[in-house]
Amino acid sequence: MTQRDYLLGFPIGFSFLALSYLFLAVSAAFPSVSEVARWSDLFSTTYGFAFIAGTYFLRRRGAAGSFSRWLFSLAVVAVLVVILVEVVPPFGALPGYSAAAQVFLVVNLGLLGYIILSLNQALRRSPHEVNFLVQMGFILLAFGQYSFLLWTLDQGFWSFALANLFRLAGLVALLIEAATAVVGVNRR
Amino acid sequence: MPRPPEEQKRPRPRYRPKIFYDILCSIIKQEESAGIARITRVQNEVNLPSDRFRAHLEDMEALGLIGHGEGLTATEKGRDFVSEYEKVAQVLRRFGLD
Repeated sequence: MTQRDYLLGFPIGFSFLALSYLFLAVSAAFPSVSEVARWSDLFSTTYGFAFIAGTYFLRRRGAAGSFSRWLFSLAVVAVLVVILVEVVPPFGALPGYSAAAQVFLVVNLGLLGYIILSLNQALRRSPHEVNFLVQMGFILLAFGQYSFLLWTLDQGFWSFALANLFRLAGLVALLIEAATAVVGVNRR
Repeated sequence: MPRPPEEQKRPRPRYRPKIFYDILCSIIKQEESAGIARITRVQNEVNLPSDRFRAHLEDMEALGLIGHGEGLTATEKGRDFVSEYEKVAQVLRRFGLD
């Protein structure tokens, strides 16, 4: 492990986000496993954002060799979440999806806020290197999470449609940015 | 009291892949310009103390990134490493992480 091992959090975070899109598609395509897929989507999205936000946090702190500590902390938090979900009455049963989703979505918004803030600072520090489209991608993802939060409250069509639209737009913006960077290097 | 600019922007220490990348870039540049990459010139360019530089060269040779004959040569694997490193570094820069 190098002193930049925390950068591993970045691909891990995006892998979780990719999984969350897969679970979203499964929940829409297969109603029989919709419930499990929606819960998995909830967990993987939060884990994805947590890993990405953690990477920015450790980057800003200039932390050395602390990725394993970060991974351990996330594992502990995951276990605590499962214990809380199971212990809080009614015992042994999952809480209602909407109620749980609201907590997860608020956490996601906090994590995305931190990522956007970190990107804003990086953009100010090196405006020619950091791309605005990246920040735009995360802002769209934040709008998506906010719309989804509204949907858990009103169950309306537009909040649900906008949540998925923003989520996809954010993904497209980030993919375009990553692809442009790689293609740009290949052309040199 | 504000700190002087050089203290505020102290460069971060390079990590191993970055050092490998710098060494390979220097070798490739010298191969293209002078036909041969001399060890002392590469060492001066990458700005490393002799013992650490030699240790890195041994590691790189063991990994098949460079060849060591009359001068230093970048192998095909070494050139691939440079290309892949640039892609990753470019993505990280754009995401504000490098």
